[in-house]
Formats: sequence, structure tokens, C-alpha cells
Amino acid sequence: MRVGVTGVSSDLGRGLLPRLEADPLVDSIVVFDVARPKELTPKCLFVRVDLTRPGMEEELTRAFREQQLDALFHLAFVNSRVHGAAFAHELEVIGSMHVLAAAQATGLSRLVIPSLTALYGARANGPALCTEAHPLLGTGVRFITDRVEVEHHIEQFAVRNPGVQVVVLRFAPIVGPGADNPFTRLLRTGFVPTLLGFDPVWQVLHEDDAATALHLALTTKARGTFNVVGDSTAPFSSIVRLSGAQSVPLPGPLLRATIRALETMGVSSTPVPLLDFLRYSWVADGERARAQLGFAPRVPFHEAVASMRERKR
Amino acid sequence: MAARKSTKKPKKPTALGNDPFARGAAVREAVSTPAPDAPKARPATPELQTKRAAPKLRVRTGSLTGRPAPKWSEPVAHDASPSIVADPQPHGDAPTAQPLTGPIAHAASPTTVADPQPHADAPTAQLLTGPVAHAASPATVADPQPHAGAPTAQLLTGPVAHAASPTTVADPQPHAGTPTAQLLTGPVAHAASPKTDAAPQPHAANSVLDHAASPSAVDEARPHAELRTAPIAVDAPTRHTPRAEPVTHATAPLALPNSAPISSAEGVSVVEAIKGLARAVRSATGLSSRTAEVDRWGKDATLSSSLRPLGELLYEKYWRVQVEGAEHLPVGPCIIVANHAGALPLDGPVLHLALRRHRPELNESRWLLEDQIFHAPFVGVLANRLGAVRANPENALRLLDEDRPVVVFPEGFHGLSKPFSERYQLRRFGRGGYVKIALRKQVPIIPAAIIGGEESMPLLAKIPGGLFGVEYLPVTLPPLPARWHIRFAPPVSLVGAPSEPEADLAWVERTNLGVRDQIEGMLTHMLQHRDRIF
Repeated sequence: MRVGVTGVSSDLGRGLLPRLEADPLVDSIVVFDVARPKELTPKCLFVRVDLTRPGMEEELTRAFREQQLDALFHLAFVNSRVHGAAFAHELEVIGSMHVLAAAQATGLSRLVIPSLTALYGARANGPALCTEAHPLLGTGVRFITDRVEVEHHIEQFAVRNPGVQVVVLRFAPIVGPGADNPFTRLLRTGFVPTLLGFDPVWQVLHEDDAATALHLALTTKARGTFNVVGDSTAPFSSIVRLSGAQSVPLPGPLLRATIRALETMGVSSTPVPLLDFLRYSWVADGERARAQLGFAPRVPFHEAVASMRERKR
Repeated sequence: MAARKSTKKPKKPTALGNDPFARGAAVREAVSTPAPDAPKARPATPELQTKRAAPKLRVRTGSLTGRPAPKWSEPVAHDASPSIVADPQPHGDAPTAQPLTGPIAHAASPTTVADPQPHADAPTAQLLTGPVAHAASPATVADPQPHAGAPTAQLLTGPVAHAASPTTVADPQPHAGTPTAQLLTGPVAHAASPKTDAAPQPHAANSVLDHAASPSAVDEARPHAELRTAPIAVDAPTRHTPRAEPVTHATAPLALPNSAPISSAEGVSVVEAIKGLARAVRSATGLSSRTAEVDRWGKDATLSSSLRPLGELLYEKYWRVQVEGAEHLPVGPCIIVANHAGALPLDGPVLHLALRRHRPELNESRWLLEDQIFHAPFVGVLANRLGAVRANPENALRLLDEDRPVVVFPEGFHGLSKPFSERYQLRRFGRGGYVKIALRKQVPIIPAAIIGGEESMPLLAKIPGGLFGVEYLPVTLPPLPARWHIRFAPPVSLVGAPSEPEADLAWVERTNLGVRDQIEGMLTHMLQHRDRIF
């Protein structure tokens, strides 16, 4: 089996690569990236592509054909700190469109794409447990709206191309020593501002479990969207405390004013709507992944959160 | 102000029942004169008693002069199912004691019927009728001799069927100066109160009950007779303190023998209550709670259990919650539809506690709250940790899948945001979503009426609360010791229900309105018969 991977240097890619390497079913791993990643393993084959470049789909199509891919993990999403939102948008939305176009042209048989449970949004009247059928109502912040757009493209693609087995994994906030996303960066600062009088229910997923879920998607017969979540739900304040950080409850009006002021000064680009995630519970139902994907989180909640105390490896 | 309001609306004079807030003080004083020489030996303040008598009289005359019986009583009172239903309809103004018609066959077991309070000096006729239930004979009833010169007949009839149980029926509450018949009816109690000279209205009550296995009674009581159905009467002698007013603790048939929890609550509770409260504050502020995990609905089992002593204390001693008809709840999932009341939604937790106590075999209930509560700081988190769930169909369906009783308040936020002057006036019942869900899941709908919430936390004023992300900040008092009374009705008949709720929206709407009417009827009746608020 020949497996393609984009965004192998992302934290998801770094988790997945050793598993693919160890998987006897995988003959070779074709790594698509702009620069040669340092994580390459013996089975890896590097192909240079720049997903943000216009007209990229032709190049991708050719590469897909040449490599005779059986499956593609499209992990090239921006979770780490970016300097330009425009670049991130190009990579995530436009890059994904290129990938989808190439996948359609070559008749790829399997496409695995990670997503976020945060796309459901946090709302006061939302369901306690979002199933995969819940509309994606997350707004207000670039890395959510972009991913919502990507999901819409994927959905249309999946309808039009029943021959391609599309698997979308919506991950709960990923934690772990190697995880690098806005949430883990917030936790690593040591002080987490929270809204006084609010303590929403969250859930987390350990990075190893995230990689396991991705790996499962390579062989599963199931298709469609799956929430991939940890084994427990907990108040946000508990997650902060167990991860070794200190929560700093601030009155909502004060926090909002501070954020706006920082935004105006250009110091920070955290938008106010993001506070909804600190205000309302947002929990996704992982039942479908359990039943159809055979995914069960192995790292218990306490261990997963406590692993944030470990040094980055 | 409230008094003015009630006079302005002559159409709804009884909507609030016996409500001193809606009544002029002058009226109360005027009628309180007939019993001026209430004996001082009575521990509870006779003053209070006499004051209480006045409004009662007014209401009664009002209802006797032809106020139609609330709609709900019709289907319910004559229902085959054993329900505790007091029929508000006056039964004849005959000045004679009414002969009893109930079955008197359960006489075999001698029940202890005790009245620990010495009534020697009371102007009250106290009738203790044993299980043999010969109260039926008018002769016995009419004889007020044990307590000579009583203007009041007091009937205590023991729960005949419960002879085996060590419970006693006690009436520690003094009724001095109450010119009314006070009836404590057991499950098989048949009491007819004698007509006495002082009583301005004839009192009589019929208690009809099938048998002990379903220890509930269909009681038809005159608006007069204060009816307290206590299939397992609660008041253990331990509770018989002069200041206690345990008569309100009439409990539903399946009540736990709750003398144990009460006494334990008394002993340990204060420290525990404070601990629990501290925990609740930590949780509500979003400071890290001690417990790491909550269930997927957001309920914190550890917090709930540490708050339980406080809850029990409030429930038992402070609000003296009285529950009727808990036996109507089926085993398995159901939707309980209740009125919403008070500045802060206390009714959810109180109802939850009531279900815990009276139907411990049921799965833990959860209640749905509208999103406005979850916009609010502190309140939303606390409610959620205690078991409130965001109201939406998906949550309701999922909770029913877990075989839980689900409490809904279809009035939603409008129920909470009505001012105190409009207490117990039901708002629109949402869009009938609960009917659709009940149909889809094929679960029964249980209407429930709750009184006490409005007086416990009256909404006095609203301050604009945009700064905090809420519509308004309620101005209220710390929870007041109003008495609560919860009544469950039998399941709503789903006869003629469409197979798909969407197939017959009119039916859904009709059912929704019917449930609303039924709850309104129950509220009206309970308020009319409420004898005191605090």
C-alpha cells in the first residue's frame, strides 16, 4: 500500500509517521511538502509541492498518478503559530481545494482529513453532545472559519465522488507533550485567563490517541465524519489545573475590553468570539468513532491532561 | 400594590388563592376578630392562626358561591387510577355532617393515631378516629366532646392500611382558633366533619380509597376542609417540637421512611451544608473545582453529593416541600412538564430532590433550562453542575434514551422573568416541543404544578444586565422559607395521537394547550387551598 501524506511536520503528521513506518501493510510513504522534513523515515519518499501556489492541482495530479497512491492523509493545516492569516487561509482552504481536485482527477481511493470538534461552535443552546450531524456553527476566528470552509468543500466532494472513501476525523482539543495548537500554547504559558462565573465542560484527546485514530482511518471500511474524543468530560478549570497551569478568572466585561484593547494595539490577534469556548460547554459525541472506526481512547483523561506537564520532546 | 391589582381584576380573584400579598390587611383583621381568645397555651402563635382564618373564610365563601371547578379536576378526580386528588368543587352546603361513603373494609389493623399535642384547652374539637374508621357514623363525628366547646372539628384519621408500619399520624400543629375543619386523612380515611356552631360553613370530606396497595386517595374535600393526605404520615414524634409545622410534610405514598434522613440532616448538616456551599461557590465562579471530571451533561456528582445535606435541610425544614401524586410517574423515561417560577430557577433542583425522595427507584432526573440561564455567570454553571441541561430537542431525546425522567419548563425564560405581581400566571407554553418528543419516543407526559417558588425567590425588579451578557439582573431576596407544594398529575392521555408528530401539528398544539390548562387548573386549586405561604 502506498500512502501519501501532506503536512508531515505538523504535530499530527509527526504522530502518524512512526505508525505508518511500523505498519507492515504500508510499503512506502510519499511525503508532500514544500521543504524536506527532518522527520523522514526509511519508507519515506519526498515530493516537493507547494500547496499555496496557484495551478498546483496539475502538479499534484501528476504526482498522485506517478506515485500510484492508495490513500492520502491531508494533514497540511496550520495549527502552529502563523504570522499571516492570509497565508494560513491559502494553505488550508486553497491547498485543500487543490488536493481535492487532484484526488478527483486521479481517482484516489481513500482520503483522510483531520478536523476539529471546535467547528461545532460553543453555544448556550447547543446540544450537550454534538453528533457528527450537527451543523458547523463555529465562527469568529480564522482557524475555525477556514476549517469550516474546508469541511464544506470536503462534503461536496464526498457527495460527488462516491468512489473516493473520504474519512474526516474531528478531533477534540489535542493535548500532549508534542501537541502544538492554540490551546496547548495557552496552557504552556502557565496562566490561562478564564471567564469568572463560567466553567464550561470540555474534553481533550491525547496526541497518541489522535495518531491512533488517523492510523485506523487507513484501513477502516467506514466512511464519513467521526468525532474523535477522549474518554471523559471535565470542567475547563480542572483541565487547566491538572495540566499544571493556573487559571485566572476575569470578569467577562474586563476580559473582553482587554482583548479588544490588545487587538486594537495589534499586540494580540485573539478575537473576542473565541471567548464563547470559555463560556459554553462544547462536547462532541465519540460514539460513532467507537462503533464504526473501532476507536477507543487509550490514554485516560487524567494522564492525557497531566502529560502537558512533560517537557516538549 | 398587589392588593390593588387583585381588585382591579375581579375575574381572577382566586387565581392566587389564599395569598396575603394580594389581600388587604383590613380584611384580615376584620375577620380575625371572631376568635380573639385563642388560648395562650398553644405554642404556635395564635395570632398567626387567627389571621390565617380570615382569608380562608373569604376564599371559601367565594368558592362556595359557584366558582366553577377547575377543568383539571374532572378527568383526574374520577380517574380510575389511584391519585390523590382533591376536588375543589363544593359538595353541598348541607349543614349536617355528611355520611361517609368510602369503603370501610380495612378496619382490621389498629393504626396508631396519636395527637401528641394536648388539646384540652383548645377550642378545637379533635377527633381521633381509629382505623376501624367508624368516623363514617355521623354520630361519632358529630360528637365534639373530647374537647369541649370547640368551634372546630379536628379529624385525624389514621392510615388504615398502614397498620404494620410504625408510622404514626401526628398533628403537632395547633389549630387554635381555626374555625375550620382540619382533616388529616390517611389513605383509607373517611372523615366527615361535624357541623359545629362556630363553623360558618359545613365541612365534610369524603375520602375514597381502594386499598392499601396503592396507598393514595381520591379525596373529595370541601374547600373548607383542609385536606392533607398522608398515606404514610410523616410526623414522627421526634419532629414534634412546638415550633415545627410538620403538617406540611404530608408525603406521597412511596415516601421513604424519612425520619432517618431528617434526623441525620439535623445533626451533621450544618457543617456539611457549609462545606457543600463553599464547593458550589468554587464551582460557580469557575475556580478550579475539586472534582476533575463531570458527566457528559455537566453534572458534578461529587458536588451534588456534598450539597445534598444542604438541599435536604432546605427541602425538609425550610421549604417544607409537600409532594402529591409522585406515584403517577412511570418507571422508565417520561417527560415531566412543570410551571417555572421564581427569580432564579430553584424549581429544578427542588423537583429533582422530590423525585429522589419519593421515587428513589427511578433513574436520576435531569431538567432542561433555556439558554438564557447559561448566558448568566455563576447561575448557569451551578445549575449545570447540579443537573440542569441545556434545553434542546437533541438533549431531551438523549436523556430519554438514558431512561431518565426529564423535567421541562415549557414557559422557559418567560416563566422566570415575570414579575412577582404576575406570579403563577402561566406564560405561553413554548412551541410544544416536549409533546413532539414524547410522541417520538413514546413516553408519557406528566403534568406537574409547583407552588412556593415564586414566594421563595420573588422577582422584585430587573436591572439591565447587558454588561454581564444577560438580559437583566434579577433583584430578589435570599431564598425565603415559603412552603412548597408539588403535585403530579396522571399521565396525559395520548389517545388520538398521530404516529408522527409532524403529521398532525394541530394535535400537538392541542395537547400542549391541554397540558397547560391542566397545570393552570392544578395551580389554581393548590393556591386556593394553600393555607399559608410561609
